Amino acid sequence: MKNKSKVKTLTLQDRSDTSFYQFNPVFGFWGKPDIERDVSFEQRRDEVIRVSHNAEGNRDSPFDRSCGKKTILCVGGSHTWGGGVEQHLRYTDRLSERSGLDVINLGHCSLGFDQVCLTLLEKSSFYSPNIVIVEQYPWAIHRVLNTFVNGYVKPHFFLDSQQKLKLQKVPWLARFKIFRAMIGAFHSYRKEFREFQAGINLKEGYDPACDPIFLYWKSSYYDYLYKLVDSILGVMRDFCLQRGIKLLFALGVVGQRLGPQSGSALVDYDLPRNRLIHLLEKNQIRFVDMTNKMLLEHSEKAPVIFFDGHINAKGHDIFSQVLFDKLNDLGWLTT
Amino acid sequence: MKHSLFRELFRFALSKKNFSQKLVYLFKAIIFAPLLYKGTKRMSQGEKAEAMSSQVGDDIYPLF
Repeated sequence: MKNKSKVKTLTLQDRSDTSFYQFNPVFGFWGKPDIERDVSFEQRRDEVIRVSHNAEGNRDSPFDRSCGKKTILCVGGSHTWGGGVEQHLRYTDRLSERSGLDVINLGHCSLGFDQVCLTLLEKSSFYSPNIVIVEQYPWAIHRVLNTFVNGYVKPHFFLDSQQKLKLQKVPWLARFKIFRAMIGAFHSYRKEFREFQAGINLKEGYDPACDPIFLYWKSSYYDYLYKLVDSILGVMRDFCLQRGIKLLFALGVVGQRLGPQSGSALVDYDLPRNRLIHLLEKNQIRFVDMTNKMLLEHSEKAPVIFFDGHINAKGHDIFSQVLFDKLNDLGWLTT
Repeated sequence: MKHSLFRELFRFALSKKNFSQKLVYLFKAIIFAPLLYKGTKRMSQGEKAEAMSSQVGDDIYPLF
């Protein structure tokens, strides 16, 4: 690690923290390469965890192309990156132990589903995976509508007048912080204005238990989002088919699902998950849903998630076991 | 179209809780209204919501 001398303890304020991230012209942001820090995560304030990125900017061991083993590429958000947990306890590392295969972790905090798709398109030739696992926290699917995240302008997809999927790349000016801030101010305002028109207010008095993505009477606002996700799924499926890559989606359990019940039939914590499952089935993409297993293993004394919904070490272990079983059932570990 | 957008932006600013926020959002409305109007005009010509951005996107399939 080049920056070993710079090791210091940070307190990560989770999503808003960008200590491990930098501008990237393709993905909007990506992990800083060769960085190593002692981190006190918000989820475990009393403990210090060593976090390091490899030369490619991923929280993973150095990539070894010569190992010749079957390779599984895991792409996802902060759950995959391992927010709040030690590197060796993450589901990717546990899956590697269980299967004996090379499992590459391309998880990054706040990575949207659109960026996950771009990661697959742009990085798969470098890693040449046999299997790609896309970890998706169902609630986080709304990030497809966010064009500005943690101070970075994101590339994003949209549907044109013929309902064709188009990609809006990161503007060239976004490499400069001042322009990022200006572009971001507009994007944030536009998003907030659209939400206001739909009767959604995420800025004042936000309650995660009543997030609009769970509300039936707001679901029409998200119709466009799911249409977009449908098209993106089609791209990912076609891309993997063309290259003989096996694609598997892993759906995490929404944190609210493990807490008290919503108290209203019109507030459904399974709404984004069910809509996502419908789209995966429509696109004939294989998936594994962690919900039932997580609900079964979760208890107040031994939870599977942290207070903020991120999976803890126990959750990661279950995640890897369920994935391993699914891969075995599909026969993908041997063929 | 133009008037209804401005009315909506004005309503949006006034929905903010305190006076300073209302002012900030009124200022933002003035700054961003032309960009939003351009997007709305395009939408009324048949393009969808996300095409509101002033730049034209790339086809995704040629990427692979």
